Amino acid sequence: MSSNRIIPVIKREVRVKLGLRFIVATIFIPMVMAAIVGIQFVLTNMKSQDKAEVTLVLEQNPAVEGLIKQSLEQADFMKSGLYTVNYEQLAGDKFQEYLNSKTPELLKDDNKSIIYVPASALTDKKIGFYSANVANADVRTKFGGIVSKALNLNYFAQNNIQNVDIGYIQTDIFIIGNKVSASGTRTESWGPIIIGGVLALLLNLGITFNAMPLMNVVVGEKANRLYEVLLTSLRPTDILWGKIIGTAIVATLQMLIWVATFVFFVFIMDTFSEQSVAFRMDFQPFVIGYYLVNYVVGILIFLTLYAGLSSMYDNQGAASTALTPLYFLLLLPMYTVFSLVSNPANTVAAILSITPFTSLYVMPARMSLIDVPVWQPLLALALNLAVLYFANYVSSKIYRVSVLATGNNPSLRQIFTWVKNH
Amino acid sequence: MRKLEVKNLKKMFGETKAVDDISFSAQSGKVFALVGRNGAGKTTTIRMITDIYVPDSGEILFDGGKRGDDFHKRVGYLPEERGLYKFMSVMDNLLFLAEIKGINPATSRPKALQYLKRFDLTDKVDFPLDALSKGNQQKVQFIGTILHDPDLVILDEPFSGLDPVNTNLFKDVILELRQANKIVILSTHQMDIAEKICDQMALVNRGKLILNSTVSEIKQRYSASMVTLRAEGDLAFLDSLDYVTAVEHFGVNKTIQVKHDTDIQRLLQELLRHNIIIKQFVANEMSLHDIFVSLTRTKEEMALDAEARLKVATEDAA
Repeated sequence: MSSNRIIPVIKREVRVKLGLRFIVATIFIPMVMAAIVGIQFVLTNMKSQDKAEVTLVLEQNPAVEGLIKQSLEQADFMKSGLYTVNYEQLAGDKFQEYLNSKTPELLKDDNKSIIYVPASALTDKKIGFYSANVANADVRTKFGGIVSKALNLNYFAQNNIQNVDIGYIQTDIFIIGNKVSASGTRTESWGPIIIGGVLALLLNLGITFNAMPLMNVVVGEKANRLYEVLLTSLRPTDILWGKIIGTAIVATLQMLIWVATFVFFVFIMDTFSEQSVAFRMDFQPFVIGYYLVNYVVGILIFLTLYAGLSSMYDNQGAASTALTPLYFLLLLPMYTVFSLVSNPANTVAAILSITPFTSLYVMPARMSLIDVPVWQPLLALALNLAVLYFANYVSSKIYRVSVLATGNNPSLRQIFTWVKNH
Repeated sequence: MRKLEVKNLKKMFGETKAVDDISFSAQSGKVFALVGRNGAGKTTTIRMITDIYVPDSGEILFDGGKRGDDFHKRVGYLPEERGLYKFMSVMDNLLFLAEIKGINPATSRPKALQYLKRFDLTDKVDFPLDALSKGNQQKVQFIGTILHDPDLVILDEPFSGLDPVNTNLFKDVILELRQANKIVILSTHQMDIAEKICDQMALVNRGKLILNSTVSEIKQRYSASMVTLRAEGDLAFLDSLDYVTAVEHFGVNKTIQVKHDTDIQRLLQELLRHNIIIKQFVANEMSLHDIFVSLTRTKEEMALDAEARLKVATEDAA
């Protein structure tokens, strides 16, 4: 690899990549993803625009009816005026007859429903929901909660338990985490957990947005017969590494933009949120440096593999199919990060954080959650660098031979021969 | 005087001998034609010269020594299979090609503009290459080949797909390169053009060099005691003439080899005696095209040709 020859290739790659596609991939796609999550959130929490009529039928239990009325008066959702509530008191053997008489009405209007609270609910808390729209989670959740609360209050009242005791019982325990480290003990923060997930996502996005397009570029240049011209001026490794380094620069710039945006939003939340402690992010310079180096090494490994292996193909369909295993190599390790949340210090997590490929995701996530002995990230980095060296060795040999080869796609045996002989 | 020397070059692809012991030398101020049939080994030879392929054996010397690290800056290569960055502009393509040859964009831009003007592409400077016609793309690639002022210019089929006006333009530029004391290696199947602009020619056939000399010497050698004839009438009697050593058919033309120059006059008299209507009778002159065909045709192709002529003659007689 000759430095003065490779620079024009790097410059060209960076210039070409910092175009419209970069803007779309860096700004537009994350915005769309955020919008999709946001829309989903809004839809899930959106209040029903249709008016609902709920009839609460109780098996001769005026006390519980009173408690339900009391709870409903305090419920926020009743203030919207979208819910009409009727009450009926029936003898236990009359409900089926009552239901039969109301069935035509229920069938006519999906927004009508009946909630039946039998006498047995006082002990087993089983109540019935009857509607043509039985999957109406909005009514089920809201009124289910109200009935449950009324049954609880009724139970406590019958057993002479005071309101103050009820309030205590109904309050869940809140664990305040305190991270013990060599530098002292600090209250737990949600920041590192979020950072762990974000880093895994960023690496995945960085590779997806850069390695696969690089594959298309290599295949396209081969199909366009560009290499014969380039190879009179450049060595194959100059072209290969020019592309890889140029793309890695763009990918790193992309990552820094995403991180800067993320940090900006965290800063805003930190400034205006009462729970600023929860989003605190206090990382050592070594950890931040490791994140950056790990990202660059991860990107380089995948770019090298994608560029080298895709040079065997002169159509994008064949290249995409053949390189699918690489995509799994990218995707599967990312999911191992989620298994860490239960216990980032267990043996499996420690092994995954050192194993090549999985370590690209798991080690940064572990480092953001617990204090990891320094030798572990250094070992993980050394192993990933060894993988990068090997990927470069194989890819360079394949690239050197295959960029000018046309015709049938090479067999595994041919690939092995290329690596062995060239 | 600069010189490119190719010595005993060999290259195998699997069991196939692509290039088999080829040697020649090309000098500055001359246009050297490397010709041969498709698959003869020309492109493999060129790829070894340009350092794309490593020869199995043999050596390539430039200016009397091995090609150094700066060799890539001194060579310009227009491959037969054209290829540039389709979505980059014409100017960006040219500047990039010059930059990988070590010329910075500030230096190459004015020169690129001059060439673009000469090749009538001034209005296409900022166009993406993909928006240009195939001929114009070829012009851009040709400019990219010579923009860095190389000492050795290798052009593989530069005229294919060009209209006659652009063909003349390319010819003019090639002759200017010769004038500028460059080594020009031209690989082409257009023998009429090669005949006009080349000084020296090497003919490669099935990986071997079967001819290597100056164009004038080749023509002299193969045209001596040779008659190119275009005529109407039954020429079957030629086979019975003891001083006629060979008759070859090239479409409407026939070449007739006689034993001695003095036999040419006898042949003319014999043709007139058999009432042959002579349209053209050229003595001691044979085109490079005919020389190329006569040297590279296989026995099978000659047999098929003879069979086809026999069939036509039979049909005519019927």
